Amino acid sequence: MKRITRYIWLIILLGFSSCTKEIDFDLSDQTTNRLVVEGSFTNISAQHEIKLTRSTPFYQPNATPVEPGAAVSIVGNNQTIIFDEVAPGVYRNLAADSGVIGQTYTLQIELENGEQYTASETMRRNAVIDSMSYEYLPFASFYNLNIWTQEPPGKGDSYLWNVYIDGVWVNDTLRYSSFQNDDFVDGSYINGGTIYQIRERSFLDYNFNPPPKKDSIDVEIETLHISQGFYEFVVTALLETEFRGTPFDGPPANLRGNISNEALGYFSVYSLSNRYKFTIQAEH
Amino acid sequence: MKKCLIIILTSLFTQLYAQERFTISGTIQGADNSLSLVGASVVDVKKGAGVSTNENGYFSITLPKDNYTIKVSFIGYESKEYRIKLDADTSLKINLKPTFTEVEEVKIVADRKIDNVKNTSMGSAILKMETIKKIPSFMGEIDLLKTIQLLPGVQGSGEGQTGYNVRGGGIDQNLVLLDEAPIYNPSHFLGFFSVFNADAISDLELYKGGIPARYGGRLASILDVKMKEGNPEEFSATGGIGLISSRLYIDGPIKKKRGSFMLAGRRTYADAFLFLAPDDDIRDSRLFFYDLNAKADYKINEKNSLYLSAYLGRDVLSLSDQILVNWGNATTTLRWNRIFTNKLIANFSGIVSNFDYQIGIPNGSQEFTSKTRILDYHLKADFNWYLNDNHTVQFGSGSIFHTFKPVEIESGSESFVNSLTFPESYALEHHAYLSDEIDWGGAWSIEAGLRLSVFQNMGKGTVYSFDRSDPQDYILTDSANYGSGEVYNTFNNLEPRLSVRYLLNEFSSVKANYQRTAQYIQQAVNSTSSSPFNTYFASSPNVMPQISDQVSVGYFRNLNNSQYEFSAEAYYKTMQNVIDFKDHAEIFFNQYVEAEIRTGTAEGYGLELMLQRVKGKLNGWVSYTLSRAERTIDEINSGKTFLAPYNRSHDISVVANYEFSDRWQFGLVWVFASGRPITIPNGKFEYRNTYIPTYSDRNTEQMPNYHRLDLTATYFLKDKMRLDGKIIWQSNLNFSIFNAYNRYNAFAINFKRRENTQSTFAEMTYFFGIVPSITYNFKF
Repeated sequence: MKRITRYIWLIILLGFSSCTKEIDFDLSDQTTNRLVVEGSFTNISAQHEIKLTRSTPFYQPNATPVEPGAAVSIVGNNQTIIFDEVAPGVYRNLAADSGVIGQTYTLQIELENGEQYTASETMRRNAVIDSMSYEYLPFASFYNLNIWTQEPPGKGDSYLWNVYIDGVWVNDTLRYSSFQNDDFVDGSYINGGTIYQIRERSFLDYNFNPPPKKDSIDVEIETLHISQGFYEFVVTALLETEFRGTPFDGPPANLRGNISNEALGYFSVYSLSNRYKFTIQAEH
Repeated sequence: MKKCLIIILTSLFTQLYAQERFTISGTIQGADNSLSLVGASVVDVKKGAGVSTNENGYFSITLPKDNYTIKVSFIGYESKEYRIKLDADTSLKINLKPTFTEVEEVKIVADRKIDNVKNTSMGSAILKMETIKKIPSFMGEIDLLKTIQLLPGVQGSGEGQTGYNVRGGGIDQNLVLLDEAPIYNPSHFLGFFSVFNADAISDLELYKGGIPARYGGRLASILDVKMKEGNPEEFSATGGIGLISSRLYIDGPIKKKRGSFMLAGRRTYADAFLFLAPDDDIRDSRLFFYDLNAKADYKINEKNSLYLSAYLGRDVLSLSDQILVNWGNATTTLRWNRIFTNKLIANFSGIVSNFDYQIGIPNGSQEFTSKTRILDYHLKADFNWYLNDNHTVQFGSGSIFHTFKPVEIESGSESFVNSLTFPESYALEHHAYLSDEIDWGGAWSIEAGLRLSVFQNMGKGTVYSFDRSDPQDYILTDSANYGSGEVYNTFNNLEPRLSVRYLLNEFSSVKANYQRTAQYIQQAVNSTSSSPFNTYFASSPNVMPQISDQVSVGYFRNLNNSQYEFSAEAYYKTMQNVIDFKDHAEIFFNQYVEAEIRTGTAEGYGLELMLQRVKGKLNGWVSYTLSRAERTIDEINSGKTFLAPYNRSHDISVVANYEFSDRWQFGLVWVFASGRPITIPNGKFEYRNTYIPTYSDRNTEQMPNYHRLDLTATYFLKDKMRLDGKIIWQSNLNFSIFNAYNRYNAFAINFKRRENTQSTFAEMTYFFGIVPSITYNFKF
């Protein structure tokens, strides 16, 4: 519903020429330097990744500083999975480990300076995609991707969808994230719920210059059954970034992560559906 | 408090046993159109004692047996004098002739009573529609809610917005009445236009302090807007064609000199050209609003009159079959005016007020319609008792039955959206008041009032209990259900109101005021601007009523033979149980919105200066406000006091009208306001290829200052006359320029990442550059 009301603002504001302009705004004397955790653990046997970085002053122009040399592990279901640093600040489990639905997993981090951080979440049941469909909306020039699935009865389920086009994960940036919870659809059979919109430019083949238009693209979708905490984190992250700038915004506020000791970021544990694969023919 | 009442009552009764006294009462009308003249003055020339006519054009003055010369006057009309040998109660029916001799004087913020200096009340202003029409307008839409923002102590909530803040109060703390009926959402188009069609309104009165005891229900201000009464002599019509809307107004007699009617309509046509669009979906889109006003009055006999007014307005927005949204107010007021004796008159009113909105997707697998409604039934009685020339007593009481229907979602047959209904809630709001305006003769006058307000939550209803151990996240633990008609919670508040005036001399006075106000109906507003989709909710066991205490002092002076009026007012205000929201509160479509509320205290103080030129070809005013508004809420900003989001330290308005000739009239408005406080990032972190700001304290920095110049020029075209000289067609062309020097005023500042780079920057969002407009107005 947050998104529906959001759309209403956008449509109405379009009627007026709401404009933006870059300005100078002094933000000096900033010394923020907190640990930031980005990572997840799933039910799929794979290499999982935990990224450790630091927060910086807002106008800091360089790449985000990383946190190397930490001891990282995930504990749960009577096992301890050790993560090794494969690149500065990037930690991976070397075997293809996976989690079990219903179990709680705890991320443990010890920095070189001895500071310790933890975060834990419980893996939610698996969500299944029955089928997918798409429809072309000519006035907006995009393709709606629609999902067909049973939403399990009982409130508190939240979902995130990863979209791959021709094998490339296209919504790994928050602004393209696709997410929904069951507040208003609890227990329903979802018969064509729109979860993502593909622009026409996704058909361009950037291997060539100028890029020609492909006749079709292969789309893969996976459903992540995430925790309510992570859902809130994603929604509020968008409220603090992409969704700001209307007269109806609430006051800015910090995100609520799940890492102890005042670290930023989120460690999410979720189950993944199998990838649903289909082909979209370009409209001409 | 009891003592205060006793003093008022005893002073009333001692007056009853004084010497033999008689009453002069009557009505004053314009001879040109038989319309009641509101605020005309009736003065005993010798002693200077006087009264003014009430909203029905009625007056009553009681004086000792003697010979009198009574002078009756009203702006724009010739004064009349009557010699009266007062040895019995006397009734007068007075017709005043309009003056045409000189350019009409424009009293910009006229006071209903004798004048600014002698009047007991302070913190209030009256604006006549003629004044508002002379002020430059945005897109040609004359807007009274934007005009009141030019008064000291009243600040606009944002660029082009009709929402306003009064003396450190929130936008949800203003009561807006249209012919006594509350208008819950007085704006169109998400706040860019107000619901008041200029043609249908006669005047408005704004109280930001010194709120009379007969008003209540909101903390910060009362805006009392009156619809025009029709002309009981003959039919006429006025209208206008503007860039975004057209208007038509007709009025005339129902029965000559007995009753009249008025009908007014306005509709925008932003979407009228969509049929030209090549695409079906866009062609089927809708974007418009309309307003309909109607009023009828009928004088049954000398003692009884009936007034019926109604308002209906709606915004409609749809984007093909993707989304459908509409919202609006509907009100009806039936008032019976009864003159019991020449000293006691009464008004009995029945009022219905409704605000609702719908959001939906019209078809497909996500088809649903969501309805939200707030509905009031209100009965009240108000008495004016002109006890004698020293006492004007007002008393009355009333009850409101509130119905809240928060969300009712109906889904389509093939839709996967759940049909669901959030529990309705009901409440009763009662009031009783007594006030006395005591003129002690000489320098002192006092207006003392007491209002009792009672609020009762009534079943059928559900009360939730929350575990409040985590200040960020209240968790639902239990709910209790109450049966239909069962009163399960009651709040009482005594709201004293006291104003004192001391005349320093004929030209200047000092005044002081204390008021307490209570508010039981709240609107969930988490942003600087309110939207039609903000949830309304009642005080309940989870939400204590908001209470405000305000003291103010003022100095009033007329200069240069009353050509100029100067006022200085200072106020200090505290508020309890003020409503704010937790971080990232979900206030739309949330059944447990009470769990998002965090309450605390607030404080506001300020100084308001105003200098008006009320006479002459060049008239207008300059106002300056210095103010501060703060909040302290345990769970927000770590419990530290922070600036209210609408705090503006300095606020200046310059309003000027110049009557250049019979053909040309010019107007100018310049406004300046310190930037609103904002919360700025103290850093950023990266997550999922996105830079997310982090924040420390709330509202520590300021946005850039706001300033803007608007200009208007009106050209009066030649009247068309019949052969016998009667004017049959008058018209004018109005040109307005909003934001004449094209300043980009920020309404938001966002801290963003430059796309596909590592660099971050600050970006302001603004709405309007320069906006010119043209309107053609006519009257026949």
